[in-house]
Amino acid sequence: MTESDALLEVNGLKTHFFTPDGVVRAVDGVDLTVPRARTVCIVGESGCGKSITSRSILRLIDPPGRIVDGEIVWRGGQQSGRTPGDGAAVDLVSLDPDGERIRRIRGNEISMIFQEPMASLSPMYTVGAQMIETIRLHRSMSKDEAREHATAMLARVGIPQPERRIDAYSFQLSGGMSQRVMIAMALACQPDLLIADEPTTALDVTTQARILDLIRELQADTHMSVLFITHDLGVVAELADDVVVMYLGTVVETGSVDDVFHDPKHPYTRALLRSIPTMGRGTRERLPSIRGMVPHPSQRPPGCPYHPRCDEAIAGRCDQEDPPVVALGPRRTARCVLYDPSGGPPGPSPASAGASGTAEAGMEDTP
Amino acid sequence: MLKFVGRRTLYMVPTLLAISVVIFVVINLPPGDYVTSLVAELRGQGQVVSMERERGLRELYGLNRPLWEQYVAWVSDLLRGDLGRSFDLQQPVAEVIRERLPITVALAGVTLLFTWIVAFPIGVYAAVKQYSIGDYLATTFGFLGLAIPNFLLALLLMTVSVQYFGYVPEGLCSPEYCDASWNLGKVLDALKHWWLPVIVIGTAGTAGLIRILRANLLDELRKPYVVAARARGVPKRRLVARYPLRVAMNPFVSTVGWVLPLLLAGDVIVAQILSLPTLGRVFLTSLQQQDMYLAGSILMIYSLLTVIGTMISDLLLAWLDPRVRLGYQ
Amino acid sequence: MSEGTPTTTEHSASQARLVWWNFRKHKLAVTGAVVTVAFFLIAIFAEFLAPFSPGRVNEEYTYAPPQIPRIVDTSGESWDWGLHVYGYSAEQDPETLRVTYTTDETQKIPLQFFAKGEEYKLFGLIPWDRHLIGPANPDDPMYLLGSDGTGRDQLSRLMHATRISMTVGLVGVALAFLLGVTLGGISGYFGGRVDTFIQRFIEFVMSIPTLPLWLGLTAAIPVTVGPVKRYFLISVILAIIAWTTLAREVRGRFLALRNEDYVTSAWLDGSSRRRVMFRHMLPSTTSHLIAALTLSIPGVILAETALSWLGLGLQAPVVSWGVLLIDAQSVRVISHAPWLLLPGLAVVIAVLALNFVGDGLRDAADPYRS
Repeated sequence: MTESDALLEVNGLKTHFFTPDGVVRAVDGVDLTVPRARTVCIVGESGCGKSITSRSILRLIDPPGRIVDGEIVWRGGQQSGRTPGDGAAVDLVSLDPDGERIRRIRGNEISMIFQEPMASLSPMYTVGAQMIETIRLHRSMSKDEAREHATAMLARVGIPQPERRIDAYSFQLSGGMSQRVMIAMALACQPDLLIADEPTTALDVTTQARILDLIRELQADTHMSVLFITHDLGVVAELADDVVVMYLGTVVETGSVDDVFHDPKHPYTRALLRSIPTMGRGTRERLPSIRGMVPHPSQRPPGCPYHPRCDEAIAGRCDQEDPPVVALGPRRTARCVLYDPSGGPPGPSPASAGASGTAEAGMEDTP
Repeated sequence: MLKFVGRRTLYMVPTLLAISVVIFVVINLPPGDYVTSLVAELRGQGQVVSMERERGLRELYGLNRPLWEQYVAWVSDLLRGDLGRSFDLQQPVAEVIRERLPITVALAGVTLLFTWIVAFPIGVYAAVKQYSIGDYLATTFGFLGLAIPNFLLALLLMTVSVQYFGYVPEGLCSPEYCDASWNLGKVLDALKHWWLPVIVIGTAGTAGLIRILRANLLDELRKPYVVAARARGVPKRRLVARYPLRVAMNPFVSTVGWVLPLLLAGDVIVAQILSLPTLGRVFLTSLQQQDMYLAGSILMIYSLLTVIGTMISDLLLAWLDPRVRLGYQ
Repeated sequence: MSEGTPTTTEHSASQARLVWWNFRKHKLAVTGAVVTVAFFLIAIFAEFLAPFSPGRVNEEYTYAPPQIPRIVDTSGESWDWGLHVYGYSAEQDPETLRVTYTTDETQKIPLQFFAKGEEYKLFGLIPWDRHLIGPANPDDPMYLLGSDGTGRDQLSRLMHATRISMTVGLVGVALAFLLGVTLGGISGYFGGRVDTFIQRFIEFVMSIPTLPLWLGLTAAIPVTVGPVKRYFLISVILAIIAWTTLAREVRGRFLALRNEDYVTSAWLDGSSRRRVMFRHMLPSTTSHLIAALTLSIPGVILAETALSWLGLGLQAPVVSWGVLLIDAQSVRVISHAPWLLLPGLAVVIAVLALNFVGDGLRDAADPYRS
């Protein structure tokens, strides 16, 4: 994998919330890569920091939250006329979150859709007014041109009678319709990357499937990349090229969808996959679940965050040292001592000092 | 929209009728009537008042008829614009009101404007810069403004005015300017007299509005559509102004409904201290002397103003908020 | 989760305890609560805490300025310890003939804790004659917060007024609460046509301008009515208007609760209407109700003050904050005796304290929010 293949690269991202009750380390060292024209799914239980990660990318974290460490390298901006590979890389963390540059990226180079489509549209303006506003923010178009473009986009996402719906208010639309509108709005400026933060969670199952189909179809057409956040492994299987598994603010495993589903490495991923109900399993059998509960991020256990629930935890090691990120192949990592090549006796090891450093070193080693 | 206006206007009629019943009950609550107190007063002055004379007076004022007849008579008189005669001022009530209503409404209007102009920027600032020093100041002001009885504020400001400016701003104009046509001197004179009642009457409303606007705006700022708009690259200033503020404006518009009664009430109290030529003072005197017909008529006028205010604010709200207009929520 | 892990016990804290935890974090609210309790203590023990009775007139000391209690007397050769205040000397303006009092450092009036003074009945039952603080010689002048135009002690009057003003607030709100909870509860519980009717009624009551109506009603109280009855009638009048907001609050809560799963399940379990309402719905609104209740007391206190000040509310010899403020009607009196505005300060502090408590409670009432 060459450098320019990576559209977005997140290295050692840490986003913490400084609440009166203590520091909540919602995202605590996340590394991930979104290659061009591919779909990456971040999967994890609620509270694992996947939404915060996606919002950190667009710098949408409000106080008391703050990105305390890491970099977010963006190599986009190509679709808007420039030749591929030509866009200079920019570290989004270094930008002013209210500044001009990040605003040009938001909604233009990187778009985002959200969990609650109805609530994500302002009830005070028509759908069209909000779309036209977005388009005119990023493209120099007259109001009429923008309206025409918006109508075309609505038609594109499969909204019947787009000429009429463009003048509707969000509360007059169904959830599925609203999400289509959100998608139309997100894609209106042909972004390089679409971040979808659990876009189907609030929708019923049939609508969910249609929205997923729509996203897949649009992705194939436009060659944009998609960063899809979900807790639903079924969605991951259907949509993803690559998978990022998160637990309590850290990435525990990454890999292609086939690798992760057929050969899960991290004990957490394995447990997660075991808990999916499958057809044909003995009806009297109890569905395995992961024991214990996800601790609150402010009460994160020392060492590997997963060790209190892990069946393979090594006493004296997992509860003390940060597990290293081990590269297992091209774009394949697991953050677990079980795969640590240095093995090493129990106790703090020097390798754990820089988790992200290890990951990069590993990736360069493999080809 | 036209239908909405029509329905809303029609809705006023039963409300006003019901209010008139309540007011009529209030008018008739005190034991005895005007004649009783008149006779008592005359006797107190050493005059001999015979029972026949008393009965004659009752007949003259129509006080011997059954209550419901008195009510019907009162309402139909009201509708004809005949508000009866003030027993005490020896003047038709309509005339008293005509003299004083315009200045009362003007004072309320200016105060409402003052309330908006002050509350709007402060409320928005406090919400956008939550937990800043400015926010704490605004919050403190919001609390204090609602905690100080307005007559106390009037007394304090008057003391300050005497101490530092050397005058007590009584009335709404100095005698030499009251009947003068508008010129610079009159404008200055008006400013000199109006600032105090406007501040005193407006403070509670301003404080309330700041609190409401701040709370609403904070609520709205946390809504998903704000993040979504930011994720589309809408600049922050424009974002606040266009999205949440539009929703948070609702209480502002509704103020016409609830600030108006507050302003009128403030007028009753402040007029007493500052001897303003407004309805408030007449109302208070009429109550103190149990001149219930005059009091009732003024109360009716107050209610009418409030009902009209509420209607205006409802219409504005519908115009502003599509959810109200289209009958959602 | 069969093993009793420590986290499970933590999660089983009662609603009241959760609210308390949240409330405690709110510093202003706790301060407000302390002040409120202090006010109520003054109201309960007014006779004992006040050095004199509120009606005690002393024509010799009109508009006497406040004295500052001192512990040590340095005027003599040696330091003389003992709590005392300075006496007054009178001065007459030759033109206006007005007498002004100033503190006179040559006179020393010793003070005493648990001083013997006027007799009273504590709680209306126990006869006693001790006061928390007072002059050693009961005839000496002691005006820690100054005196009014007839030489009555402002401090004593303020304490007795606290009793009346705070209780008018409580009684008024209690009555309003009965009305509000009943109508609001019915409205929210049954919904539908009953709800619409009650809502229309509430809107109607709210559309009448409050203070003028209050004034109208109080003016309608015959002048001849005795103080106790008048006090009660005023409370009723204040309640008549305060109940609407409470009713709305209760209704809103009930409407929201009706859709909660546990209410539905109580229904499906075959609980009776009454049981669902009183056993399941009311307790979970308690903290909200207490918050709404606390927040409506200040309004009643302010209304009573305004009414009394206008001469239409409570009337002398009953002392309330509003009644006391009648003495401070003109700028001249205020610049001459600014301490007469102290009851106003009491109003402001009480209203602020109650507002802080109410706000804190309201924020704490949803322990699971945020």
